[in-house]
Amino acid sequence: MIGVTATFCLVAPARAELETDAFTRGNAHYDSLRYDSAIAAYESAMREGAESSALYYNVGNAYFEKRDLGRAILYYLRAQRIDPGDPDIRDNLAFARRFVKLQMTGVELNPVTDALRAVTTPWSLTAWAWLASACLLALGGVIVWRILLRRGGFLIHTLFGVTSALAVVAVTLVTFKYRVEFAAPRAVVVLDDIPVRARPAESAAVEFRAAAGLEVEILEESAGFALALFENKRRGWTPADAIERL
Amino acid sequence: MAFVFGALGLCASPRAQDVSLEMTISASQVTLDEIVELVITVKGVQKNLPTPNITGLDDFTISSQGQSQNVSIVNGVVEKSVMLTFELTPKKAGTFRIGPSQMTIGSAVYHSNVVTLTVGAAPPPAASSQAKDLFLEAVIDKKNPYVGEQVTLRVRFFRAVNLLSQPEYTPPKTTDFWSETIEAQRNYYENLSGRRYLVTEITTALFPTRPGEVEIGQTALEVMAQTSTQQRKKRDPFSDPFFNFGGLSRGETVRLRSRPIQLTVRALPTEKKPSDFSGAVGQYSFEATCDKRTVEVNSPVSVSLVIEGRGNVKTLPSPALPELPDFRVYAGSTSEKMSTQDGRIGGHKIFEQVFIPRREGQLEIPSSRFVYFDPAKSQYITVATKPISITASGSGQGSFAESPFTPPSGAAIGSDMRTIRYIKKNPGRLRPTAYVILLDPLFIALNVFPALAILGAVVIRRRRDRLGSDLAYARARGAARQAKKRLSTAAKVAHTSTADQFFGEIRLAVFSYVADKRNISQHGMTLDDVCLALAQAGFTESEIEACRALVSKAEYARYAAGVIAQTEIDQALRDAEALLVHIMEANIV
Repeated sequence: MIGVTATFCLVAPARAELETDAFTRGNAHYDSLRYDSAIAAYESAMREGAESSALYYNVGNAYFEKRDLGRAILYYLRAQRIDPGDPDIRDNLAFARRFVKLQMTGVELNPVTDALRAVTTPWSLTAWAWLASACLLALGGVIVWRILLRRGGFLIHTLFGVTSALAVVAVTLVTFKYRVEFAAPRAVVVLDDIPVRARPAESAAVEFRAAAGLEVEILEESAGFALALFENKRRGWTPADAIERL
Repeated sequence: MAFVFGALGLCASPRAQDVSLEMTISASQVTLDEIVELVITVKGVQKNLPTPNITGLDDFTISSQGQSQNVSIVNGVVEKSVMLTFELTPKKAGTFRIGPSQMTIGSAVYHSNVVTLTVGAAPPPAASSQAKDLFLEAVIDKKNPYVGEQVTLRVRFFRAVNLLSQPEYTPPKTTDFWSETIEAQRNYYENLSGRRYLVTEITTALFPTRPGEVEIGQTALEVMAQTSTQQRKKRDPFSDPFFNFGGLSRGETVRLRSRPIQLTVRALPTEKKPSDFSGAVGQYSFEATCDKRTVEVNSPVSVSLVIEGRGNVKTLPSPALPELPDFRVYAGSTSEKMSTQDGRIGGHKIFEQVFIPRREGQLEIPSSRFVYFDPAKSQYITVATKPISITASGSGQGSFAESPFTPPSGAAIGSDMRTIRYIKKNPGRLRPTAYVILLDPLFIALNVFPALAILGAVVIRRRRDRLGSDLAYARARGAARQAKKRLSTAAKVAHTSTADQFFGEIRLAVFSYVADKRNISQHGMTLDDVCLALAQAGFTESEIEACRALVSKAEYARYAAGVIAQTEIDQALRDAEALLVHIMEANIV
């Protein structure tokens, strides 16, 4: 056990150094306009099993400069999932989205989902999870206090009510955030002018054509096709290699 | 001109002869600062009213409208009516004929009566305030500003009586203005015509967005207030509730409205207007700073363009930069800080730009121009930054495309971003790929902790409760502790005190342990009882005999302490410790 810990302690900083080196190398390539090399360097950092919002953001920038709009949006979305408050990520994502050739709009969202989305968007899942934990700890503390000291009265009831409500709200928001960002398989169309078919077969009728950069939710996968739900609630089968999961 | 109201409902088919229209007003004489209520009562129909036309409302502003229904039964006859209520604010003084209102129901056309309203000039504030306990006024500091120039609106609520409810404030409509709150609320006292008022003031900066005639809507406030009469009654000994015989003194609901304010907004002059003017109005300074002067080719230099001064800094556009063949330029972040000085809005706005040299050598970021219109001087002013010299070393590679994409046809880019923001230089906190905190064992452990703590608290609570209510349980739980305590006392006195005290503690340790475990009194216990308990607990004959010998020695020693040697005391202590450890391991019940 001690041996494993010691090995981890020695290996972890060395690996972090490798990842940072790859990041710096990627930046140097980016500045020299060698975007393919920059992406390769960034991806080598990712292969080491590391991620950060800055890393994804820079990959998104490199793909944008490489005119790969789909993957640029994909990586901006990955960056935003880690750090939703970063204005650079927000602006670049909004900027990149404007170049998507097909805009899927026109369907009103469920107002409850919309409200929950608006509330949870500014913070990452990690931040919400810590907040929920703090609320649960506070609620646990109040209950323990109540049990051990046999205290009743206005103060304890108020504290119990407030911490219970906060805990319920925070856990609901965490659940929603997790469902939207991790449980639901989201993806981005990374190739342009993709036929979206009625059935998972090459011979099936083309219902419409999707553009690179469109965001979808994958409902089902079959025979090299994925049933994608687009933002305007239209759905259809796209080639599985034309979309990449978030 | 006929004022056309919106459709009010679905259709009905009343008998024509049953329908009648009546128009009434709340007062026949008002002043310019007052509001009059116009009510059209339609009898004989309760819903599905068609659109009514009312003539004579050109000189009034309709501030609100509503509808209510009424059903009455008089002598068995049901009478239905609908009341359409409109609040009118006069625009000028004079005598006005309002009506008739006209309504078409089915094929029949109905007309109402005509009402006459006399509007007098508004009394000066001091005179009006003399008669009023509460009033509201909205004033501005200039009547004909330029587009984008600050107009300061002060809404002041005067009160000389106590309020019985929280005021409900409706701010004025400022559709043609960009609005910024200067001071949310300020309270102070002011004397008007010898009367002392508590004044609540809300100050807002308004920036007109278009030239021409524009209006700041009326401000409304509703509050329940004590009247002057009631105030006087408070000082009157006979106004005591005892003498009031059920009379209520709850005050009255007062609805106050300020008059709408008309402004004539001047357009910015077109003569001598620089071509790069982009709408900034105020008084500003402009300067540029950079984070380094010497840099390698393809390494970024951050330049801050700072515009500072008085005016609506929030709407300041990004300063224009000329085409720079020697640099790739990325838009950076924009930050702003608003402040207020002497009632004027101002502050600064910082535009960050990232410049990346494309070639080596002595390069220059040229001066950037910023044009604004100064309303005080009524002229356009151009300010410029100083050029910034950059020394670039090394050699650049590749070629640069300013915009890798072209927007889809018909799509509006709609922002001042010309390209994406620059990459990040710091990788930030790296974490494992696809990390989800909810699956982190540490995080799970942290969240399980409250549940464990609650469980622990329940167990402790129940144990405490049982210890408090179940004496047998409490004695059994405390038996070992008591026995150890006695042994400890015996060990202390083994060398310092007399043998009888030592053996007394030894005997007590054994007896009290068995007595506590069995929840009986130790005073009535005999050695045989102890031995019986040990036998029931599964002790062997030799172990029971050893116990009997120890206790017998202890009882003997209590009465013949002088003949016990120290070695025997030490041995007895060791035997007692071994015996008690053995007893505690057994299940004595």
